[in-house]
Amino acid sequence: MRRLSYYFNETVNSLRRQGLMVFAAVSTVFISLFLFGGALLIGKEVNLILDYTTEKVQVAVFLQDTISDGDRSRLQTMLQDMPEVDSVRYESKQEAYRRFLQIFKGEPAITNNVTADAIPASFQVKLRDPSKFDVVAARLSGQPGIESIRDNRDILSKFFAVARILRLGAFIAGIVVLAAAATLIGNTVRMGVFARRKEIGIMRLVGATNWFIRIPFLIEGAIEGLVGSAAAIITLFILRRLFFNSFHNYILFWPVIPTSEVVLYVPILCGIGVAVSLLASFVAMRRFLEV
Amino acid sequence: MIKCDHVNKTYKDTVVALDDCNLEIGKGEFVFLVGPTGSGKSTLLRLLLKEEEPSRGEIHVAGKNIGKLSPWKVPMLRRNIGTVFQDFKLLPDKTVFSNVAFALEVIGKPKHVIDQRVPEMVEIVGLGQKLNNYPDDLSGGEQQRVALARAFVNRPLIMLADEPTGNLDPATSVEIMKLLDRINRIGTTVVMATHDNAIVDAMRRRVIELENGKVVRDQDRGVYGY
Repeated sequence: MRRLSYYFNETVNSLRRQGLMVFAAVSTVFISLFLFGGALLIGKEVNLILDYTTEKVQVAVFLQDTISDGDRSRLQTMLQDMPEVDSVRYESKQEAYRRFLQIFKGEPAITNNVTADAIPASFQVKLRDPSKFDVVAARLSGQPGIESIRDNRDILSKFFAVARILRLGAFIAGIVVLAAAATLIGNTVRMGVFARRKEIGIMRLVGATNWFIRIPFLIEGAIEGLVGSAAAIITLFILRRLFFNSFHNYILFWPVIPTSEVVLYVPILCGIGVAVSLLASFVAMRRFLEV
Repeated sequence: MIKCDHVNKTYKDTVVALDDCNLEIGKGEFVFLVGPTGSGKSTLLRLLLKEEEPSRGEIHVAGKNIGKLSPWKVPMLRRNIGTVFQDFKLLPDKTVFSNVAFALEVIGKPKHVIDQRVPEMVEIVGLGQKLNNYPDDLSGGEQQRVALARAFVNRPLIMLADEPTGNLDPATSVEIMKLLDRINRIGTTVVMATHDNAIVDAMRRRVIELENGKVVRDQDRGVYGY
């Protein structure tokens, strides 16, 4: 008990004495883990969107308005017989128009200018393997009655590219800032050791063990790491609320990561923050605390 | 209690601090370590505390070959050795009580032991009235008594004193020597490095003289010079 209160007092005193340095160390941990957490969230979000879209139709085969019933049923049989195709659904002009109205309901500026006539009928094709689009498209080319074939993944591929770069950038920046955070924490601890070198000298002289001397400094480093990671986690939760949820309001099909999944990142981020801080503190003290 | 066997200590391969130093100090002895500045007295004391390693030779303290002591056991060695220095080494932001208690706190003694032993020890060195004063409120002699109390509060087997009277006037020095003598009389081995010829001559104890890292004189009931 006495030992615990000793550690606690030492840690509090040391943190107070070096307020500004502690603030700098905590802020860098915060920035670093914020970037890490951001990278994790973006990655998760990209996967969700990918899942969502690949679950749906991947290929749309738009038909000319003039296509004969014979050509149409021949195309349908042909698609159904292809080994790459999972399912085929025919969407008539009327059905397509209804879906269009549904997607853009509340946007009269768009719906008023488009008639049912302007929207083509199509086969909505789902592939067993989305990457086989080229094979399917090649087989269909030259068939009569086809207006165009569209790979739906194309639409999202730009978005994915941007998201991937964003995620990679955040990850790399996170590592760089984490190194800076480790250096700063190591430095605060080292300054703490230096400020108390006389005391530490006496402690060693009267036979205090190295661990006894080290523990308050390790606690100090761990607290800095923990506060920084807590701040990063809180900020990530707030940003997720502000941004992802508002995306969700604008883009209906936008899936939002459920809170239960975001909660899984809490121990990861705290773990990284505390582990890096402890390691930095330990390394910083090594040189000063040789027997 | 202390045994040095062909101990050499060189710094950076060129500066010789101790040169084939042999000595043996028995339990309960009182030994003065004399010699000019740079003769190796302080180096010898640091080696006994295992603050440094000898370049060659073996050192036994309290029955243990400290060269073979693993690093994590060094604190246990030091708990058997009390130390006082010329500059007292007190912590200015702690009271007399806290300074002495510090030595027990950091080796994990429980509070009831500290609350009992610290006032006793401070009383023994004659500062019972000043338990709650800070080192800056005390005279040099009083500060050195606090340092002695801190060094002895854990009842070590050995007391090492590195010029404990170096900063004190003769009358105050005598008081410190009386305390060291008292500590020695209850069975503690005392090794004191000093330049204070008056004290050495007055006490008439064993004198070991070092010169250029060599033991040049080892004399029972000796004096400072020839």
